[in-house]
Amino acid sequence: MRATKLFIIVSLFFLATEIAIADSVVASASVNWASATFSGPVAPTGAGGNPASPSEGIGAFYTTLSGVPIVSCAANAAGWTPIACSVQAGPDFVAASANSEFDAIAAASVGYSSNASVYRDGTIVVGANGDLNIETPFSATITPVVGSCGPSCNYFAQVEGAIFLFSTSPPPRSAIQFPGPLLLMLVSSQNRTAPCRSVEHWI
Amino acid sequence: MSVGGALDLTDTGLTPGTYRFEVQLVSDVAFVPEPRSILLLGIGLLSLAGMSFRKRFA
Repeated sequence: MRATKLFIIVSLFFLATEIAIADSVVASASVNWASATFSGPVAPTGAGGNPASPSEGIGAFYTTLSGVPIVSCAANAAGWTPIACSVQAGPDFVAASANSEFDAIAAASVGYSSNASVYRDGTIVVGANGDLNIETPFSATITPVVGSCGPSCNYFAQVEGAIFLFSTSPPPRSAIQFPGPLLLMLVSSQNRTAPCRSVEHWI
Repeated sequence: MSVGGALDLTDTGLTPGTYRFEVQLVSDVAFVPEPRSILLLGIGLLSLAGMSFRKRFA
């Protein structure tokens, strides 16, 4: 039986992680889909290469630290149509949307965890020259609200963005490629007024 | 802190044909008692993001 999934390329992504002390934190990421450029014709397709699957999905989840669900929402669509959902939990707001812009906003206060996620799947045609390019603007922000909270208020916040490329029917050019930017990690740390600590990781 | 720029996927020498792509965004926040161990887990999170998506939206 011939394998159908021949290779995956993860060409470039951003990953930002911050750990510090705060009363609450908001992590948000956005991609400007309307300004995205493609080297060939594109079209929606089912996630995972399954035509019956939705081609985009969003989710917003707010839980306790042990993972007990409190509030959540999720939605998906068969085409690249606008979808959005959000939940409010006390002072915290978690939202995800896929429209002309993708947004994933996760906020949490002490004792809680939140996650917002967005994906959109499609196909792109590579022409006779064999070149492929997908480019879209992004931005990501992690905003802590620092109050009087002590060492028990350590938080972890992370925003990620990625474009994955999958080959199915064409012969493989290579196995798995990880380009240079994937290997570059900028690590910086800074000490704020004690006892606050901040460790930031950017890729 | 904030960062901005372009997500850019570029490759050459591909076999002509139709390829599938996926664009993903994930934002996570958690208040944790031990930040450094969570950091290590977080660094590897991206590679698992795709599978996480599949499980959640399947």
